[in-house]
Amino acid sequence: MNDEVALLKRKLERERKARKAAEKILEEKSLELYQSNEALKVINSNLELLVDERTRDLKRSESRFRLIVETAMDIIYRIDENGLFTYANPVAIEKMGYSMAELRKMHFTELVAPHAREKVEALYAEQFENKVEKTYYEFPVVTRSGRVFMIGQNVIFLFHRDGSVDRVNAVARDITENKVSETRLRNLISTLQSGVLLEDENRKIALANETFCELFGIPVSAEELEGEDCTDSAEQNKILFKHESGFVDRINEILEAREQVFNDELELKDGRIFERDYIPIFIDNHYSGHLWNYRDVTSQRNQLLAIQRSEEKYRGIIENMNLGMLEVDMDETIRYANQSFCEMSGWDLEEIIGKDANRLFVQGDYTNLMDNKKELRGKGVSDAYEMATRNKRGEPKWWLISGAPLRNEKNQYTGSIGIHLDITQQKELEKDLVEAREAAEESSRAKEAFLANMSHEIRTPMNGIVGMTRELFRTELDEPQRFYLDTIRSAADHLLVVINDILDLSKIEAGKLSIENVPFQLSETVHQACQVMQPRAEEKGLQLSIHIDDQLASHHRGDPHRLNQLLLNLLGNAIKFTEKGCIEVGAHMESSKHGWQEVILRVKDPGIGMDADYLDKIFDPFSQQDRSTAREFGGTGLGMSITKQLVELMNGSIAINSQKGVGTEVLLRIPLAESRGQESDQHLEESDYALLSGKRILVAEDNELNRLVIETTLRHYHVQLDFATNGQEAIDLLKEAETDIVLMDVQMPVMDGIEATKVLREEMKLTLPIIALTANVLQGDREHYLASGMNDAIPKPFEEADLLEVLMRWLGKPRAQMLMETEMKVAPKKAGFSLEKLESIGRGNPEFVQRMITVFCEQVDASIERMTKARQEEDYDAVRKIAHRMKPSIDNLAIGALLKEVRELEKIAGEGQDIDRINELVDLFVKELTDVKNELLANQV
Amino acid sequence: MKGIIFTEFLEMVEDRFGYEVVDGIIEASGDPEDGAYTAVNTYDHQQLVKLVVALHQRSGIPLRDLLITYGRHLFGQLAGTYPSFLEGVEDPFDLLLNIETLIHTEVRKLYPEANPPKFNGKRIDDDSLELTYESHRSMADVAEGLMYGCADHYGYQFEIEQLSLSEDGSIVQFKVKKIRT
Repeated sequence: MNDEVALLKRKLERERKARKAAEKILEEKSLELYQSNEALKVINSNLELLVDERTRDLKRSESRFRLIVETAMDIIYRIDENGLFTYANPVAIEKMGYSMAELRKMHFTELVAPHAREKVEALYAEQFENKVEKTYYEFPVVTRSGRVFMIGQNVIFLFHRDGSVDRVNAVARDITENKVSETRLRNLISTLQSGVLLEDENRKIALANETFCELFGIPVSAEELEGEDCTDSAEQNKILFKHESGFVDRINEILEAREQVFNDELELKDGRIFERDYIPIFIDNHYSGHLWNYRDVTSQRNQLLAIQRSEEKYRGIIENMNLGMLEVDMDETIRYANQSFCEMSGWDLEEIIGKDANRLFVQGDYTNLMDNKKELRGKGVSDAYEMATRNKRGEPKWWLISGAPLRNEKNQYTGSIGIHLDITQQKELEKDLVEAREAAEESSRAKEAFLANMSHEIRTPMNGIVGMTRELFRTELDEPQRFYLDTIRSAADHLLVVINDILDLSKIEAGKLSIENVPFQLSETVHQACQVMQPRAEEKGLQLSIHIDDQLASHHRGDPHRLNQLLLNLLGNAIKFTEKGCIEVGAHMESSKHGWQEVILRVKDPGIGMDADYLDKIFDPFSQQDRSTAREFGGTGLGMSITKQLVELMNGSIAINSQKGVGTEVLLRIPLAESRGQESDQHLEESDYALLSGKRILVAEDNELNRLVIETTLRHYHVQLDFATNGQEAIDLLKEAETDIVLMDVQMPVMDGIEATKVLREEMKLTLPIIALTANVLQGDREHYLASGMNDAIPKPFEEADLLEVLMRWLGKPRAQMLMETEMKVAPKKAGFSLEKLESIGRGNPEFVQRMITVFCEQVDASIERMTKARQEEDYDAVRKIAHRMKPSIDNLAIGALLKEVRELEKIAGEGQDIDRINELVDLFVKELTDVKNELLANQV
Repeated sequence: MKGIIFTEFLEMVEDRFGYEVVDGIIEASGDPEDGAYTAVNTYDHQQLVKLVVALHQRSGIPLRDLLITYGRHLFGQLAGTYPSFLEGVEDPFDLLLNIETLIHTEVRKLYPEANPPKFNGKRIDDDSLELTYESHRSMADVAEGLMYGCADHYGYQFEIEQLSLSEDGSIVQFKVKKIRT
């Protein structure tokens, strides 16, 4: 119990203490409040003092403002929210003519001039609506006495917080006589390029500018004119004008009418031309003067005249040149045509003006052309074109038209103008010319055909003569017979030279002679030529001295036959024109770079020489030194011409040094590629001909004489000969008999040699060598025959040696090598591969190439099998490996269709992503390799 | 610390445990005011800590539970004393996220020297928010209790996670989840 009492005591004690603490705090707070209150009282009394002071200030400043307002020059007034005047300063009262008492009852709009009232009300309604504090407007007001004048008025709205209007203050100024703007206007007018004269209603000058004084030659300044009376000025100034009385009358007329006049034209006696405007001035419908405005337009007029004159001049020129001129608008409607055009087209001007030019003159396809031209003109482009058309009578005409866009003075496109020239005659001439050229070409072709035919016709009997002569030499002959035969042979030889020269020249001129590019030995060619000419030199007691430069490459690539021909010709000439002494023949190297050698072939004789005059003409066809030369030395006069052209075909040049009575030196400068050399040029030994023994040769030749020549020529070599008289027979024979080689005439009845060769190669897949026999040296070159599948060609008439050489080339060598050469020429045309690289690797060793081919074919079989399997099993890594392995073989055989593809295949098979493309490439791989393999195997049979 | 915190605490103790316990903890904590607290004064907060610790020792109730319970009680008392603070606040989260503007600004008007804890909150979604408490007094548990009290006031239940961001408990992060009842 005691505990509880003690506890309660403690609690009570605590409560008391807490209360006392709280009371203490509250007492403190009360004190604070009291003090704050005292401070506020002081502040309040200060404020009252301040307000009083401010009110006094305000009153003072108000009376100050009132003083300013009362003494101001401007109209100052105040209206209440209803628009009634509450205050107006003395100026306002004076200006408006109403007393303050009257104004207090008035609405401000009553002072606005009636016609402007509505507008002014709207303006201030808008100001109120948009709560715009301050505005400035100009409008006319009307006084008690009815006078109207313009004011410029600043209005300040004083708004209550709620947006309603408390009052409105306005300051307005009479701006009728606004000196400032007038000065500005004066300055503006004084600097104008036209002469300005302002007269008041009494015709007193209110304002004039310097330009006006200058125009009329008035010797005083513009300012001095002010106030002058103008009543008499027309009379005074009329002397300046061409039509004096007209000038005065017109002025009076204008003044009478008081209506605006613009661009009155006045001609002056001194040649000037003025333009004049008249503007009457009305203020409130009251005439109060007028303004004259004069402009000197002389130079513009002159320019216009100059343009017109120049236009007339050009029209005149066009007219005189008989050029037809036609102007059309945007719709192609004819606006103008000159006399020449009318004559050209046969139409009268009246008939075509306003008509559609296209409908009249454009026909057929030219409609499109004209649309195109019109589009061009729209873009500002001028050009010329030819057009076929018809005149009024329907006669066909050709016009050359030069068209240009037409523009008006504002540079707007308005149509086009065309200058027409009748070129019908030229066109006809042109057509004639084309026909003549075609005729000439036709006749040239006929000549060519004739020459080809002639060569065939002449060569075939010549072949017989030469062949039979050769055979006759093999028989026993007595001395006279031998002499006769020799004469026949030399005559025939000569005739062949003549024919060959003519044919060569024709070929060169027709651009049909091509230069071969085969490996050969230049020294050999030189020696051969000399060997051929040696007997002839010996006959005349001449020596041949040969010099070969040892810097020459052992082998070159070029055309040995043509080089031989060149040398024979030069040697022939040298021998012909030399009586005694030594003829020097040489070949040496001039320069050498990048596998090319520039070679000089030189033939020098101590003969009769030539005039400088003749030297100039020596290369012309059919040129000979003179008639006596022709008689004495014979020849066609074609030799040097052919020589020059052949040398140029070989990209070489020819130079001749000659002196009459001293001798001649001919230098041929010919670039030749160096060659590693080939066995093909090797000289054949007599004993090698034994290789021909027992060979079976098919001769397809329609000419019996030729067959006889071949038969007798080859009889000595123990070959077995079959004969066919046309291509079809040859094919039939080859189907039965195992044959080693075919000698195929090109021109044969039933089926010619080319066609037969195609059948043999393509249908019968025969690979045996086919050699062209041909007199067709014009139309057919070697390449043509080779392309048809033949392996070589022998020109007719042939020497025994030519025939044997070719036969040896194809029969005297191991078969593999022959095949290689066949493939080299034929196979690449059929399939997309080449053996060149293999040849090059094998250094021409045919066995190597053959072995490589065999290896390749085996590899292909295996690869295709594996590739197909890998594809089925989707084993792309295997595909990649096979592609990788076949890559070198594809490169070596240069299989064009797979070079890039095999790399792509290797790459994307490695990635294994683009399955479609992989499959596509695998298919290509299989197909191409199969094709190449089949091709190789076919050629190997 | 404002006196009302003390007077409310002691009143709660008296209500729940009787004045004997109030007297006991005042004696035990060596209270320099000897329990004579008035709401209009300001006292050292350490004194409240001592009173709470003394209550813990006497009752055996964990400190945290005591503080939370007190906080919860305090909210109800404050809401009754100063209802104008909560006027127009419809949602407990709106209150928690705006303690600074709704309550502490008003507190400072009345007691310029007051130094209330700082609260920084952000709403995670409709039913959860994060609130950071920062005060040198380290009374996050009281704050947590106040939040429960707040939930009670609005007829919700809160699930609160407390994560201490400083060793002394002066910065604490709360994750508050609303569970509608």
